[in-house]
Amino acid sequence: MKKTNLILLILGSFGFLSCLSYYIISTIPNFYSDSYGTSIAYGNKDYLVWSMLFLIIISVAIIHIIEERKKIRFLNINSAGLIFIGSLGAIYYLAKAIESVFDGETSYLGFVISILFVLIISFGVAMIFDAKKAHK
Amino acid sequence: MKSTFNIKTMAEIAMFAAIGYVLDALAGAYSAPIFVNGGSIGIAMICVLIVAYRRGTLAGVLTGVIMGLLDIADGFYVIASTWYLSLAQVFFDYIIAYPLVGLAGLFRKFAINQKNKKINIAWLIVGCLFGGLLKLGSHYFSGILFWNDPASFVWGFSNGYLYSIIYNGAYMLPCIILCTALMIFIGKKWPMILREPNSTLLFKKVATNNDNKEGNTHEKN
Repeated sequence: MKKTNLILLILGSFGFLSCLSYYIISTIPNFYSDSYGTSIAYGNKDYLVWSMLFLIIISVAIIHIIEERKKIRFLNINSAGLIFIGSLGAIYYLAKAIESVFDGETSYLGFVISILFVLIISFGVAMIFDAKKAHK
Repeated sequence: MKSTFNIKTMAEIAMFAAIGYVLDALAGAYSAPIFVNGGSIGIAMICVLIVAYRRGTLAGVLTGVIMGLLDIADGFYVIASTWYLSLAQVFFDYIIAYPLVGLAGLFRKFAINQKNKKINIAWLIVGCLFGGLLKLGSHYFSGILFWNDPASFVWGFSNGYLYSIIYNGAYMLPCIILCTALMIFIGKKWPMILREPNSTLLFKKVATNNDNKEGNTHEKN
């Protein structure tokens, strides 16, 4: 097994478990009742999204390990992983920024983080174009 | 079953469900001021539709289930009269809504394997409309069964049946139109995204260096 795949797998698993644990710990159900019904909200959503990001890293690592074992190669796995991670982060932080605008507490941090994730997407797309050029 | 649920399929389901969840969150963020009783105009359904056409109905339904569970994990709203009614309401509003969209995969064979591109697109539209309208049906039934209290109605309605179809239709129809348009665009521009995985952008199988060496040896021989 390649060292990079093993590191990716350990890093992804550690991140995933940590974020999920943090999310569960922060889950002090916030019951809000009105005359009509009950709203049940949980803790920090960021941890849930970050656990998903780490889950994508685990998936990429597992696919690479399968590649090694079966001696086959799948095209664009890394770039697809980057695009998924970038999209997930960009969309989530954009949603958070828009929410903050409607709440009247405009937070530019969400927009900035969103742009950073867009950079990750563009990096993934560039990798696909590079691979296509190399293939030609 | 073996060919349907390999590691790649599961990875795709997880990734698309995650993207669908954040797309839903994004749509919820900008639609909240308009649709105060829930619902949003967005393209989260596209993730379920892509998986349904790409990997089949079961995979599409599973993607929808995960999206629904993520929605619940994020927080939800229940009518707390009795626990079984609340459970049924959560089932209709969260668990069953997105999986119904995955049933668009039933039209997969017709939408992908036809030689005529126009027929492909026509079946793609049929699938999107079918899945979208089923989701609308789920929200409509939830509306008349659980949310039928005139005190909570907006836009000046008093009839629960009419209110449910107008309110849910007001955000579901734009969603269906948006997703259908996007699927047509994908079907025309990048049809490989909707096709079987062996010929797709994400997971293309190619020969390794070892295989190439073997191939070269054969050629030499």
